[in-house]
Amino acid sequence: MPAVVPTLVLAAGAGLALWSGWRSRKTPLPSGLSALWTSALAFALVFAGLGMDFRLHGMSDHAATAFAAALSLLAGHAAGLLLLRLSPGRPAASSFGLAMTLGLPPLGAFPGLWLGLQATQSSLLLLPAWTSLLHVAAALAALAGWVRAWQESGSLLEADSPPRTGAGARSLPIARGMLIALGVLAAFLPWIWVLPAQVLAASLTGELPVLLVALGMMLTPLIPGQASVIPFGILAIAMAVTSVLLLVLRLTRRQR
Amino acid sequence: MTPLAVFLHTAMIISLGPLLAGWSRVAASGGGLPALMAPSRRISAGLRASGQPPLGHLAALALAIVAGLLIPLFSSDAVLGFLGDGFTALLLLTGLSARYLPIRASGVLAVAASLWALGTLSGSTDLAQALAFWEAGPASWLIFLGLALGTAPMICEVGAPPARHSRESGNPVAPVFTGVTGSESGSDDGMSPPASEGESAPGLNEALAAWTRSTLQLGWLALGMMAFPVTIPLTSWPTFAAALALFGIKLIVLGGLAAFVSARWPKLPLAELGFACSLLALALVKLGA
Repeated sequence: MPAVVPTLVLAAGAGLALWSGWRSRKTPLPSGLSALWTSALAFALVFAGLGMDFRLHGMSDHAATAFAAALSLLAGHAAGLLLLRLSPGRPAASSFGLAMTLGLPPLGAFPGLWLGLQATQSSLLLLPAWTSLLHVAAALAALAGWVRAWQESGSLLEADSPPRTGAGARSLPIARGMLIALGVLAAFLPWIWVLPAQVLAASLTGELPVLLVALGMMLTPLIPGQASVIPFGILAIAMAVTSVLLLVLRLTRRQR
Repeated sequence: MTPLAVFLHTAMIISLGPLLAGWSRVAASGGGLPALMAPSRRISAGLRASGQPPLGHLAALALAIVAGLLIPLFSSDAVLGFLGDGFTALLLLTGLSARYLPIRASGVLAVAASLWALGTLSGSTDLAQALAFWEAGPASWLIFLGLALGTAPMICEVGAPPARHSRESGNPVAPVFTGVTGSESGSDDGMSPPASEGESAPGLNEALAAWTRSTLQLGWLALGMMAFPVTIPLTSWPTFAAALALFGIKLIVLGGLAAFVSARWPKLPLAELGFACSLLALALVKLGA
């Protein structure tokens, strides 16, 4: 990979964030949704650029973390955005969706955002001065775009969209319920967003064996006195899946 | 035991904010118990205001999640857990109130750059560890100034009472935040909270603003305690009294300084100045070494 590629990706992320802010200045009431997804994309690009730079410097583990940050941020953000889109006129559900989208701790995009900001700190500690300062500049631009989107997003809760009709309207409550369940569950177990992203990123960077060993160590409490959290997580997921299944069964029985 | 302790800690963090605001009011103008409890009453009344269910529900849900499970899952170290808990609660409140507070991008950027500089200075990504290794020096002072000035507009009520008039019509509608620097076009001073709910729920707006501001004041107090540490062995009553006096002096000097600067020069772009200090600190730490 040419050395200029990470810089270009970082510049694209920073530019996207700044463009989004500039566009909001030009038009007083831009679409809140557009501001939200643009800012998430900008952050994902910045973290991806960070990962590419880590890879160029031979630090595959940090590269995997940065890529995982970008992917998990997008995953949590997209789930929140979808919930927001599916919940017009439902203030509680749309508030929850917005909180997931914005990465309000510990919801939705938060684990990815947190991982990415940590990766920026690692860059400052490990990479050459000018490279890391470039990373910080790009991350600050993305952060500014994020705050801007945050400020814009309030109007989304007040948007009074007409209710949907037709066949799709019947599946809306189920989809909404499943997204809320996923959001709540992921708030207890943030690795629901992070783990698939980590596996994907690690397979891209060749760090998968290391990740699997680390996961294996988490599954068994090797250190005396330290309990593993994974069994509790599995239990929680099993309980959540069962409740969702029961809910779906109950809903379908009522319809029949 | 740990989840219970974490829950109690979160409850303390959340409730201390309004109490601190009440205490400041009592210290400034007296009024006894009613003045002490006034901010808490205003917050609870605001959250119970009719037509405002989402934020109240969301706050309760998120608090339950944070308090109950998140921190013990992330950290087995109780102290780190408590620190993380406090910061998470702070972020949570800031997030909930973002629409109602003059959150400026410059302030957020100043805090982010300062924390990155602090981590680089101490060689650790762990904030608690970084604060434990705090040493006085040019970079430390710049970091501290960055944090202080960056958060000052949010902590101190600069430019109050808020103006709620749009640029175009002068009607009491939502001011619009413009640009990545976070300057708002809805008020003369650019510091008034967005009243996007119109005038229908001023109670909630005020309540959330007071809650967040007082909780940020608590965070400021914690930073003041941790910054520039002086080790005093607590071997006797006089040394205990000395440590307590030092804490009081730091509190008065650090807290009073930010309030004084905000009150004396209300038009001063404190957040932007803080951001500049943070960037300078970052450059000094990274390029000066």
